Amino acid sequence: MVKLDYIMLKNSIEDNWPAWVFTLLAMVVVGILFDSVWLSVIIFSISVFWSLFLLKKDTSPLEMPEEDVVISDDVNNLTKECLVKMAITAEAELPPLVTNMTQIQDVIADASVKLRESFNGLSDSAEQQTNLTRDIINQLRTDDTNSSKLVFEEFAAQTASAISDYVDLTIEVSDKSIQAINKVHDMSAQMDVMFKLLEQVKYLADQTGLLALNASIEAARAGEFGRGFSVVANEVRSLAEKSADLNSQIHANVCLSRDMLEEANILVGHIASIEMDHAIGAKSDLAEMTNKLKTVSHFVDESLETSAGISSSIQVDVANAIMALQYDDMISQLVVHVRSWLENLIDGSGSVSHLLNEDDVRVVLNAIIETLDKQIESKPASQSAVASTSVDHGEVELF
Amino acid sequence: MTVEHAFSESNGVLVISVKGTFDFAMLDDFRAAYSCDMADAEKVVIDMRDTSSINSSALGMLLNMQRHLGAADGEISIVNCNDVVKKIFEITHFNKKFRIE
Repeated sequence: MVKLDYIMLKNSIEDNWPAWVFTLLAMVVVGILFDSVWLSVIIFSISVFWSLFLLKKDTSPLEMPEEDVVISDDVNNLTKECLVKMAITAEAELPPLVTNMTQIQDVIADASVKLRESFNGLSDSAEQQTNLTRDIINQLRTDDTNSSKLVFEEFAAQTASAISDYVDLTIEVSDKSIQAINKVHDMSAQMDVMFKLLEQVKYLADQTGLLALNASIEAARAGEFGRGFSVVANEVRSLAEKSADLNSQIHANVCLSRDMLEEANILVGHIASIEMDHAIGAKSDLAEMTNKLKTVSHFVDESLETSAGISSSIQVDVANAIMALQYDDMISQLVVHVRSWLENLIDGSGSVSHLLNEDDVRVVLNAIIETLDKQIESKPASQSAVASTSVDHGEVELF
Repeated sequence: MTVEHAFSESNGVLVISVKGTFDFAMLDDFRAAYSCDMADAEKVVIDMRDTSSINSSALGMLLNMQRHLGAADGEISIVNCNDVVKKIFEITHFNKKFRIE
């Protein structure tokens, strides 16, 4: 069935309005003339169907032979203008891009060199530091390689030994002093004995004196016969006196000796009485110091190990960093690829420019298609060039 | 500041007590205590319950006593020492010569 397209109908009416007016008039005349509405309706329907039929015929697509297609001037000129502008833009914008790419490459290469140097420097410094630490520690250790002891530990041990000797000496001094004092006390006791003896001697001397006196008296009574005896008696008396005198002197000397002994007693008493709290204090301080030194020595050992561990982990980190720097190699490859593509674009747009004198834009378009085909054929690897996006997976050479 | 001694016949032990500071002033009394006849007892004990402190003269006296009695190391006991006295006996190694309790 014929599809009624209302818009098309409307257009048809607008375009052929004289015909439609005439039709309407004819309808009216016929109606009046023949006095029949139905006749006029029939005429109207016939004209509608006829115009629709004609409409359908009008809008059926025409088949044009290829050779006769003519492109409108508008399209041709617009396309050519478009292509010209594209070529101009390409020639203006692309060369700077190439320069930029080169710049990127250079900057990154330069930075990578500097980074590499820096990292190597860092690694060397870290090693130097570790060696320095080791040297310091070796300074603090004894030369004995069998036991790792700090010099201070030896020193503390020696001091402890010295204090022990001091204590032993103190005891010995006390011991001998007390022995000496005991002897002094014994001597004192002896002096008491001596005093007693001296008293007895004094008594004898006195008695002798008395006897001699009595003898003198008896001798005087005996008269001339007693004269010799009297002389003897007098001599005895004088001897007794001298004896008593001597006795006094001995007594005085013994007293003096005793006083001296007493002084010695006091002095030796001081020697024997040494307070022990200094020794106690010193010993306990030393014990504490020795323990602390052991702890320090331990800590030093552990620290040295830790330091060596840190140093090797620095080395590992630096090695990783240097390996990561190989991105600059990857970027080089990427940049080369992009550059060559850009340069091809530049060449392509150049070849388009000199074709733009052609009248028919289809010639130009075909030339462009040809260029692009060549591009596609000549770079089959362009899709797979540097497919890796991370340093881990890229096949990059190590320096 | 005195020295006392007591001898108990039942167990043959001679106990010498030193009260106050055990120093040089005690010398004569201490000597008298261990030199008396009762020192033939089987065992001698020095009681330091009331001894406040000692100095080196006390150590000398103890050594002389040991020598006088002819006792071997560990035969004579020293009991009821306070902490300071014990410390002194430790650093002077008296704990090897006497039984310290």
